[in-house]
Amino acid sequence: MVFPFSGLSDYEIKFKPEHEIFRKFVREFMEKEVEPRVGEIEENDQVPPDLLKRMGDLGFQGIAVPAEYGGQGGDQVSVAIFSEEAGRIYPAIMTLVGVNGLFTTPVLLYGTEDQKKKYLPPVARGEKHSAHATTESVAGSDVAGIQTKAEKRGDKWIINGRKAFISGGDIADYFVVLARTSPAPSRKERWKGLTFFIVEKGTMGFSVAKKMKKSGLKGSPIVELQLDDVEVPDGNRLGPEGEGFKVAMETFDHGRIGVAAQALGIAQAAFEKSLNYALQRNTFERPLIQYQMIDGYLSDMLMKLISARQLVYWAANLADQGRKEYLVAASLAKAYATEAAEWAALKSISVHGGVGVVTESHIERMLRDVEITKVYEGSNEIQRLVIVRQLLKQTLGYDSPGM
Amino acid sequence: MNIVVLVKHVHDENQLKVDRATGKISFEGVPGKISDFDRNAVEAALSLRGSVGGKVTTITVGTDEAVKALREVLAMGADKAVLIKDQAFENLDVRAMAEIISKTLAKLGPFDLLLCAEGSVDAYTSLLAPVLAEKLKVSLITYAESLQAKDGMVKAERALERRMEVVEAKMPAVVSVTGEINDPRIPTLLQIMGAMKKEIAFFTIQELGLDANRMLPNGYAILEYSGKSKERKKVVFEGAPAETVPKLIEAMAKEGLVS
Repeated sequence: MVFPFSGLSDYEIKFKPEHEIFRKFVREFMEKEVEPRVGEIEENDQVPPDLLKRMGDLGFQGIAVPAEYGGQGGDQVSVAIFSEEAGRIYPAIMTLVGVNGLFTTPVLLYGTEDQKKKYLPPVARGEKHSAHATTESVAGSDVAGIQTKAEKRGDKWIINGRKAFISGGDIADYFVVLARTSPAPSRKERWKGLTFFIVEKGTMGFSVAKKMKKSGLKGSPIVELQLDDVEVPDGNRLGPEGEGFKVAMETFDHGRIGVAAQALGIAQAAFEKSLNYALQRNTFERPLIQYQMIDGYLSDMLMKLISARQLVYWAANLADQGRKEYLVAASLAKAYATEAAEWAALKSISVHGGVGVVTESHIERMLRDVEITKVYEGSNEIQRLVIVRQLLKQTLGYDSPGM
Repeated sequence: MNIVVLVKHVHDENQLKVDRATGKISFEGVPGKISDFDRNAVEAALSLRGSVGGKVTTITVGTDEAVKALREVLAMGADKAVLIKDQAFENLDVRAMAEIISKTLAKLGPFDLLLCAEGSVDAYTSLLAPVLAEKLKVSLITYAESLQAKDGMVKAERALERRMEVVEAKMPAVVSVTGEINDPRIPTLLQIMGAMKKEIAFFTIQELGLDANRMLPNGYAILEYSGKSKERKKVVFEGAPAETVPKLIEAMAKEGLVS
């Protein structure tokens, strides 16, 4: 045993030839079709509809959705490849895709065949947009602390509440909404009694309340949602009644690798830009690259970058093999890659000096964009709890007490 | 309509390494890629197939590495891919290449249109299309910036240095295209995965009835590549613009840069 895994082969990372081809084409798309429009997106805080449509046409909105439901039938490595290449050029592009994953994943995992047939193909093809509504202003990491309620009346549910920080909610046609459907049986079992519902845009009483201003990830707005006596049929219930917490956790487990890879792309960009600048910029009649402290930054950036890369694709490999260990791996990758990327973005500003904080240089943007990656899809603090708890469970069968 | 597209797996020119002291170019560890405008030729073939129907076959000559280029073309939507492989194929001259391709075409059966790029990013001789057309005794159109095929005829706009020419030729024809003819499509992941399952036909040159050792002496071989650099003059005129501007103009006139 190579603790905490069973042997050396558990640390193996494999790629198929199609992964490299996919990476090249995604990069081409990002460099040719996204990069020239970054200024425009930053300015308007919106990704132009034609670019969104193009992403749909290229299958990016359904990478991990099986082909039978209109998706690409890709694996987690492919999701990571897309996320990294998007992160390298403009991370918001990954979030615009990731939010659909937060809708399609629970539908794939827990949806009825009717729900899958109705909701997955249009989202996977980019014809419709979707969003995930768990978070509230009073409950983020503490999913069980949500206040939104749903009450059953006959074969219908009436939902009331308010959601916050909902990425993609501004353009979404379909939402998964988490609500409390029965009181928690005890303080220890607060996670019980939550249920997911699929809510369509335009349902009476359901509205996008407010776009929240934020520093990074321009082009991927977050909004508040208001639910006033929103009525949905029981057929829109997603997963078993009262099991919503489990659905949410499994969904976030799946999304974690994408966020880790998104941050990896930021780290990659920070390193490439810093190295380039250090070679070109002269100070005291010598290029920056000849200064030891700059080389120290660059070397450390590369160490962190490559470590993050190994973690991300290792986690994706474990996920694709259906290994349970991927939970620990994905949390390690998410916490590490996002923090490595933050460090790289900060040091990239140091290498670039004053240029680094000029908006047009797109160096400071990396720092603005990276911050949320440390927070969403399970904050890095939560990841550190998950890592040890999951580790104990996996290696010792020890179920540590809940939060 | 049977359309054949020629593609070439080349070294990525952006990743070449040049020894600063000797100027020698090293190909070691330089990744390969499909030559830039070859993808325009593929796109032209696929869009023609889209409008008039038919089949698109892609051919490449190279080492096993060239399979990567073929997979990309298959992902874009080509129906069939053929690799003529031999490790001795580095540095083949154009006539030898035309010989190999014409023998391959003979094996594949008749074609209506053979498309290729105006040049490959490595040697950029732009000779293959004319040599091949001559060898096959078919029509030739070079530097096509648009392409239509109808009733056995192919019509193209040729982008020449100072003018545009509209030409029409009888099929079968060899047509070389420019990078401006279209924007090559980006395949989806599903199409890429589908392409990995498609079969690639392999031929050795022996199977084509050729002998590599005999072909080479008739042509030329590239022995070495080296980088060329030009020293800048770095002339600085100091002083007020009223004095320095005329000096600058005079100096530029001397160099023949302005008249």
